[in-house]
Amino acid sequence: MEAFDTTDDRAFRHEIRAFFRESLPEDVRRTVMTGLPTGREMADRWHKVMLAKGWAAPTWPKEHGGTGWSLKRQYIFEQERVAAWAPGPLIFNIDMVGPLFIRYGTPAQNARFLPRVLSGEDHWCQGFSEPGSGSDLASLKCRAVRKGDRYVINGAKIWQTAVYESDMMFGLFRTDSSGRKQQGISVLVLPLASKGLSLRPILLLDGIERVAQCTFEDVEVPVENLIGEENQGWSIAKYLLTLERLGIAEVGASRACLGRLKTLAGAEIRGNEPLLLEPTLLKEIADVEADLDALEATEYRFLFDPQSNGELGPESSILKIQGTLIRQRLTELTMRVAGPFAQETATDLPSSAPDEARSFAAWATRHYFNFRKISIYGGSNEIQRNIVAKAVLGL
Amino acid sequence: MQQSFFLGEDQRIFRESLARWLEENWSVRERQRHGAEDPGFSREAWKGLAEIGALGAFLPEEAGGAGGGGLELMIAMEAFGRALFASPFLSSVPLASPLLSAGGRQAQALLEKIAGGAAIVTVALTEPRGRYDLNHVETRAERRGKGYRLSGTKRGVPYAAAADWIVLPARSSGEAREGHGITLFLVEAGRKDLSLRSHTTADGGRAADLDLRALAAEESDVLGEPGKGLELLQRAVDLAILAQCAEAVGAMRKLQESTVAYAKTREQFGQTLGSFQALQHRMVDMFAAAESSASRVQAALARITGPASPVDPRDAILTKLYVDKAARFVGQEAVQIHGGMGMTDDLDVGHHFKRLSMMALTFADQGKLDERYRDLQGSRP
Repeated sequence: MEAFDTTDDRAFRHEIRAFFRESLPEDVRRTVMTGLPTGREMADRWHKVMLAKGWAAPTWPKEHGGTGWSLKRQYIFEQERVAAWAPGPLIFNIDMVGPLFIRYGTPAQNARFLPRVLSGEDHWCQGFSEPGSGSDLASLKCRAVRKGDRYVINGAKIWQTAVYESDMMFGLFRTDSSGRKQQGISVLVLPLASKGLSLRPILLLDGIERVAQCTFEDVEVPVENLIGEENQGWSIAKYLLTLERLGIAEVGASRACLGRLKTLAGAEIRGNEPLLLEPTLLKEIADVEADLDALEATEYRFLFDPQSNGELGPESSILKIQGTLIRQRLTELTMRVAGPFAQETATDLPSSAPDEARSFAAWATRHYFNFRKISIYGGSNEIQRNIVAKAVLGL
Repeated sequence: MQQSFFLGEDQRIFRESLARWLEENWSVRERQRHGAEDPGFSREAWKGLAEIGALGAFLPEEAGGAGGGGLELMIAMEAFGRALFASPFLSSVPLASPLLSAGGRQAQALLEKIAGGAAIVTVALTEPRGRYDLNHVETRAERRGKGYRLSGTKRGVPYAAAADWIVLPARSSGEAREGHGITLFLVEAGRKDLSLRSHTTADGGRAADLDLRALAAEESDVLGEPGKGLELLQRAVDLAILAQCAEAVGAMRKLQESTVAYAKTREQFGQTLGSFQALQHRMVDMFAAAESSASRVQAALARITGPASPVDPRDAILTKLYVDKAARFVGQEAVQIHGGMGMTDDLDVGHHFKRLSMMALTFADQGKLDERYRDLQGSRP
């Protein structure tokens, strides 16, 4: 949708593009390109670069150390970032817990936590899902019982990503089970090193990514770590979900993957022709590109319609559905380009040239396996369809 | 001989005893443990399978087998698919046996060893730039006196590090993509003029890249006629395609069953997942895909009488087109309906999904199948 950039937008876009071109280290770029976790060292190294530039928190207001950018600028920044294969902001710090404090934190909480959220001194992780509460998140049972000036937590949380590199958790806990399940949920923040909190690793099917299950046994959290009001956690959680509006369709990421797919398929020679021109593959690439164009235009319309005031409604769920399907399809097609070599497993970073195309193609298989998760997490595609059926179509 | 589409009594007994054996002797944990290093499979399990007659079920009686046909092959492969059994069976039996059947006395004797669990054979189908084109053979076979010297590179050869014998296609004349001039050599593994780098495959099996460094071969090592290996190789690959499709059927049926079982017990929103109509319909579609695949595979394999049997290319192409599509759907849906749990390494679901994903990229991908289908229209209107 670059064609609709204003003169200002275009200048801004070029500034961002030039910065990434000059400042993004090659090892970081290659790691992001593989689609695998960057790891704390790399994440911290890149975060420092962004802090120095003042772009570490693109979505935050200026008074808290953010950029203060308009929605349009945030959108352009995100597009250019993914096109350059630059890492995203520290997702739980910048996109989740930061906005949580900014909206619901007391001045004392913000003074205590926010500077370290922005600096990346603390890495945060989430504590939402539980072994028995996935799609039905509001049924969560992990209990936080108030005793004097502390909450005492017992129960379990699951699917914490990067938890072994995190210092702090923000989570949803059951503080009252007398009423409707959505009532009686509260947001608490706590150090992962808390006494009584133990972690069990869960290896994902790609054989690389590890998530965790956290067990809480009489974990004590001071009451000043309650964010917002007690038992109002469900509306806070819903607020956090609306913040995903900019990332939800992942158009930029898909655009970058599509570009890479075409490069790989163009470089792979079969007989005398690039594989890209094989009729079957080309038809599938054309289909996914058509889907992506339609998604991009829909996202643009939803985000920037002057009559919607930048508020995304429940119809934005279709962005998540379409966006995840397209991303999954792209990983699948990239694996197809690897063809007979998709079986080769990569356990190290792709080696540098001369065989770069093929070495990325081998990673495509892991990527394909790992990306089955994106239509499951953050509200599965089934839940998204329920939302649209109920809240948009009135069924 | 008139072939039957349906299984007879003996075949049903074979199916049950093999299923029982695998249940008692194999698990996904075994697959992971063995896949991590060479040889990549359990020699003990291999011996056990030989003892219950599973390795020789498809091989001719004169080679120590049971003289079964395609249905025996189907039964074995489907059971292996369901159990996620890791082994060089696909390479040694459906892929290698048609080639060995065309060889001399030494090759015929190898069949007997395969049936007895005493030999592993693999076939080096893929070259670095060849993708799925069997005619793309850059490896050279230079005449040297009465023998040959083979030089070139093969990639992703299944269970090559475990193999006792390897079939190597090499070019004795012509250019890389010519149909004529490909000669198949049966050579003993574990030799100095053959170097090998082995790795775990994405679905938990083993494979290796081979470097042939002026590898010495004799005239008597040639399978079939010199320069005319392509046709033989294509028939072997087509049989292996059908066998692998039977493996996919086993994996699909297992996935469909475990998804239904999970949906019956997992509760969200105060009801089981299985009570949601949207999910019920998807599981019905999974069932239809798995069962139709089973029928299609059976129709193709019931026509196969043994390793030397002709294979109708139309059967291989259309069966694989159908099964790959079904496997993609069933595998993806099984993970999705299991939700987060389906993403974990702990459950079998993910392992079946990975195996199915890799099968669709073995022997031929969709583009190659479409191309072969197109060629078929030219030759047989």
